[in-house]
Amino acid sequence: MTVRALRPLTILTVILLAVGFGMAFFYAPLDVDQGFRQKIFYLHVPLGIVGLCGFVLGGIHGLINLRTGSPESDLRSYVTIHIAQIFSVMVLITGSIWGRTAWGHWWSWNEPFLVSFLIVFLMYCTYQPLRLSIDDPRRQARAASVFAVVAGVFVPINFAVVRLAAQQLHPRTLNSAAEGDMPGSVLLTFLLCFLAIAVLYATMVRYELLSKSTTFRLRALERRVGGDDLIPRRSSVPQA
Amino acid sequence: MSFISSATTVLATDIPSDTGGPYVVAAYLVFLVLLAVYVAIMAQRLLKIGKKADELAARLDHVQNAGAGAVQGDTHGAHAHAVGGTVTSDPLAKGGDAGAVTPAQPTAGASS
Repeated sequence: MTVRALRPLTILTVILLAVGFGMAFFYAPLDVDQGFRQKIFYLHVPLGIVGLCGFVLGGIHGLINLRTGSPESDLRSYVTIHIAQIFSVMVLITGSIWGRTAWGHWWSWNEPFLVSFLIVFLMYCTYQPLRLSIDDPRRQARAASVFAVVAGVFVPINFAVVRLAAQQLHPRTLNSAAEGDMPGSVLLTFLLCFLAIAVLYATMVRYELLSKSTTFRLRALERRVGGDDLIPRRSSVPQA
Repeated sequence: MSFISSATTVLATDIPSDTGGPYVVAAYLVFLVLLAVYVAIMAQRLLKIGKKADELAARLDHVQNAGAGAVQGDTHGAHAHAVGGTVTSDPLAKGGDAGAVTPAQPTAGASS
């Protein structure tokens, strides 16, 4: 994998984001209840879904690592979780902004959706410190994979339980039975934005993987030449 | 500057402020800023990798040149021994034995 190979994916990401956001502002109609503030929905909801799927994906790679012991799957697990964390930060910030304009509060501790997402985010904030606390790379990979699998199973269960809980403030999106079907233009725009965010996630994961694998190759070369970097430094990043 | 001020004017007039217009803009800006920060970090990392690769290439060149010099010296000495001549200026020949083949020097020290 090279930077040149990622160029088409990067261009596709930029185009999809531009078209998706353009449609959100200029094509999708204004919501009757929420008005203009509903436009955040096209950003916040895809970020949330893709972020949570990223955590689950990290768990799947962790499971592969536990079964095969392959360092590459550990690296993939690390990178997918890392990018999902970045997306989670965006979800929390955009969600808070929406809450401020819709409810008049930046945060509501009574809303299970918000608190459960925060719990998931904080849980994954312990992932890197966990890795950093273990020196031996093989033990580090195994412990991180166990964490990724357990947390990856927790994420969808937590999401399903919270969704089944009694609604308080947070709207239940994509819930056609309760809130009626979305108009075609809104659904089309949402799906395009979702695709754009999903492709953005894939692009960021690939760039991160490329960057990490290139760094490892360089370090290996340095060791072969006999440079200064003979002793591997302590790091939370998998030493593939 | 005029483009920015006209764009600001368009935004100010077109975005409804009663239903959270500025907040919507803020949400999308946060997304774009975080994305830009990520891209900047990635670019910085790639620059660092490029710099390291250049350093490594220079080090390898140095090592190869030193190795080539040693090999050239060895072949010179070996040739002199073969024809029975005396070589006095060969720096690799020890103890006046012009024909002695001196092994190439270890290259690890070339890193400094």
